[in-house]
Amino acid sequence: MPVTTATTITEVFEGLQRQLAGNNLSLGPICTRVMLRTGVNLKDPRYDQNTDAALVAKVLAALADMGHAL
Amino acid sequence: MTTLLSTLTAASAHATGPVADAVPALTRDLLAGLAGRSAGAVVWFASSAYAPGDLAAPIAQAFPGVPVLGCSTAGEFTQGGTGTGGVSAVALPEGVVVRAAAALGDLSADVATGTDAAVADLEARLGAPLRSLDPARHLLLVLIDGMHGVEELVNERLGNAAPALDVVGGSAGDDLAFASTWVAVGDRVSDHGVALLLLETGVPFRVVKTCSFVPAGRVLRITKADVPNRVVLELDGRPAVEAYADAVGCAPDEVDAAQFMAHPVGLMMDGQAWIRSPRAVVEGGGLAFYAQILEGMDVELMNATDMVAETRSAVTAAVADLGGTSGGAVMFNCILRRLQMDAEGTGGRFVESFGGIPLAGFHTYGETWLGHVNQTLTGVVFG
Repeated sequence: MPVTTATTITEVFEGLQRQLAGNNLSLGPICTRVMLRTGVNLKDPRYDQNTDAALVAKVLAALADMGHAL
Repeated sequence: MTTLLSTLTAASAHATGPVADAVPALTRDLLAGLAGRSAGAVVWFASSAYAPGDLAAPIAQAFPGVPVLGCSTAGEFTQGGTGTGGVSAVALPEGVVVRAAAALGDLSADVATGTDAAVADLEARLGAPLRSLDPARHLLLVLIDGMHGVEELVNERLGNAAPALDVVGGSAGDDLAFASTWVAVGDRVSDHGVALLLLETGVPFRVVKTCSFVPAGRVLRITKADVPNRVVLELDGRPAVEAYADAVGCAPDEVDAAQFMAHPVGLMMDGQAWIRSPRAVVEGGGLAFYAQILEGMDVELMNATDMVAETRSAVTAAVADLGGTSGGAVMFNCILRRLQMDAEGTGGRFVESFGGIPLAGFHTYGETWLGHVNQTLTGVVFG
């Protein structure tokens, strides 16, 4: 269950980075999986996607499914 | 290109002809290539012309106690050649493989449940959850049924279980009959399944993903889609075929297989294209694809480049990244790429692009690296 207060994709990405604590070997595959599942590039979100509440929720859900609830 | 082979060299083999001749020849050549070393894992790919039961059991019996994975194909290849109607295989020696475990999932009742069960089986064999494994030393090979359009869900479930691991593989084929495919683990075979092979490697490895397409500079947004059926109904708010035809530069009634082959679309991330290949115009002006594309996604129209040159470049880069040597590889090449090679007569140059690395591969009904992708070569090269 996501518990984050993130309201933008950028904040979600920052939260994921904090959770992974610099583990770049994990960050890449997780970002790719999120992109393929949601169409959102966590590292470089489209302007219109960044504040889309429904999309933020979808990305948080995808991360939670992968065991990375923020 | 010549590649210096490491001392941890895999054994590859290819055989054709009646199963009574092909299987003994295949296993004999693999064992000869191992030259007394033990195999850590064996992967084989066979024409659907063979009965799977005639292959799976005898190949597994030739390597007692070793995880053995296989599937049906739309063509097989090794570093020495590509063809159809035969069987290719690679035996990864102990040393390259420190530990391996395989599991077979039945997807016929429920894809998610079947995939999860295979993961649970794998984790029980390993005695550890996949998510706890070091992604620098572990990877997951996956062979997926190629006829039921379930690759996205299988990959999603694998990603949930092992989000940080490289998951590499392909969808089984059936020599373009499009009737039934099968995957095998040991002597067990499923015609609606998923086969998993977890490898802990004793050497570094690199994933290869190359698609020989570049963005044409035309971005299309998916504005309406029937996602489960892999159909894009609208692009940029217009019937998909009209927008696609405009982007390609032809009339909607001129959109055909040749356009699809030369101009798939790519979901771009960090400069890499995740290719989605159109396969047909559907009623109402939609486009059916070989992979799902979600509403809201932006995709680039792609232009074809030189497939062989791109393959060589990708393999060379992977080997260079491993320090200039490779002891073996497993490759998964899209059937659309094979058909293009057949038309262009470049099959020989394609396998030469692997630089002599001992490998086995097959021409697939879909490729996997972290997710499902089309018109791509994926694979793993071992240092």
